[in-house]
Amino acid sequence: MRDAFDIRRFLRLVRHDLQLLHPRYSTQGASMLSAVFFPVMMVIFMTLFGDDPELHSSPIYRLLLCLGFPLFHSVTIPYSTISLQQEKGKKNRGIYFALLPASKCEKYWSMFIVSLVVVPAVLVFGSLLLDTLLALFRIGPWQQFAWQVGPLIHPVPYWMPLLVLVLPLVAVAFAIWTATFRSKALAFFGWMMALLLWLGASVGTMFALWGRPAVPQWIPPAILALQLALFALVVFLGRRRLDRMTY
Amino acid sequence: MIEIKNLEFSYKKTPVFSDINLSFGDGVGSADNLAKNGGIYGLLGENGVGKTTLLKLICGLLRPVSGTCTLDGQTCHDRLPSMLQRIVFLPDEVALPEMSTPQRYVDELQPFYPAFSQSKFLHLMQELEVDPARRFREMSFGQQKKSIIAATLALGTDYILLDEPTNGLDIPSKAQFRSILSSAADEGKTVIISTHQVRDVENLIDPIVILSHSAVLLNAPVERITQKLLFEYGAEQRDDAFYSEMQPGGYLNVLPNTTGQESQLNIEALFNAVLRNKNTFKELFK
Repeated sequence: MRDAFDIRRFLRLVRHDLQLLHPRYSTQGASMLSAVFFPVMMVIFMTLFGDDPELHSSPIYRLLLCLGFPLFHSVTIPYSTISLQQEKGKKNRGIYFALLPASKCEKYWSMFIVSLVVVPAVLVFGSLLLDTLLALFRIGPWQQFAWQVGPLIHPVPYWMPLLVLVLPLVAVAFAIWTATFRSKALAFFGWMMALLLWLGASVGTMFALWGRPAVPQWIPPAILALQLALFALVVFLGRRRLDRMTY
Repeated sequence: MIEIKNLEFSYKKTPVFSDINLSFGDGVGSADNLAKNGGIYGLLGENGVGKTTLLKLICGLLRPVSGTCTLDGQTCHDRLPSMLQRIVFLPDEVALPEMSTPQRYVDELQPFYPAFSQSKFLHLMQELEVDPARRFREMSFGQQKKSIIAATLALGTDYILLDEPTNGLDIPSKAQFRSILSSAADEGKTVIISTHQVRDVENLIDPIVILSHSAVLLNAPVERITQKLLFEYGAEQRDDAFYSEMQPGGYLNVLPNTTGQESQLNIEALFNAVLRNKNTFKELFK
């Protein structure tokens, strides 16, 4: 068995990291289920009591909820995946993680995949599946599938809500995740990335509302390039920091 | 074998160790231990001398400022999987997943430890009288401690580091603990116990390592200690004693053993004698 990276050990570790969630979520399953059910509850509430039922039952609105709320849950709920991952960086609980017989590289990527990919993806999939099931039987406001975004009711590009809400949420999740490594520099770069995504979202909004002349042409690619650079930097620094972490 | 060479360590500007040399699991114990290459090392020292720090350095949780700390030739702070499979560290306070159970806890760990034994775990849990299916949050501190001790020993690692393992254990559990730890040593494991509760591990630890700030004051098997020192209970305080302690009915004197007389080691008295005569003991056990 190789010390640097062994695929079987890595898969065991991913399974182990997912199992870590189990004791929490078995009793606090409501937390996870809320992320899946909230979009449906929200649509029901807004179509009943909102001022624009047509908008609130539209596919784009539902798609936004199905993508946004599970991610929002990952960021804010105290027992979310990210907060569990952060325990690995704590001096007390972290000892267990540090001494688990797996390489530092495996531990880093397992942590990354579980907190930022697998669990948010499962939550998003759950809420989209629920929405799709309701649309399949044409129940109440669910007359179309959420992913059938066009034609749009309002003159807003369909990618706008994704850019304005979902991507910044992903960046915030990533920034919070960096706290695992107990590094101020890393946290700073993580939050810079989140900030830049909000900036990108604002530029995108300006572009959508007022058209190209409102935004200097070099700004969007510059923001995008900076975001990519920061992402790479944070991933690299996180990996290096984990190598040097002491408990 | 765990080898510490010229080790220097400090927490930011607070120095803890400077130029420490020490080895564990090299057969310096009693005749039995020599054969099995294991042993139960007692790591003793005053508060703040760095006992826990030393254990953390050995299992790679801390990185030395200079010098080396290796386990069978592998640098400890690299924390390579092949090394981590062979060593386990039980800290004084363990942050357990409250909603989990001891059985689930070991289920999560066992894929990473090839020598893990489920039957041994269940046997130890039974011996320590703890239900493996009960949640940690429903257990007292002592029961949690017993569960985690059973899990630690069942992992089957060659090196077992225990920091204040008897804290929180009741009197019968301490006896059970001594019994199961003796079995571990019989299997050739190297156990290092850092403790203040020397009476809990009396007659168990051998060899004894006494640390002071920046130095190893004593690292010797019990047999050698009792060859060099005489623990004498008498009516009077002796002037030539390294250390004397008033006890009911007289005095306990720690004397140089010039006649080769056999005596029963008293760890507390030994510890105090070493602290009061640091240089003399260094020379005596060179």
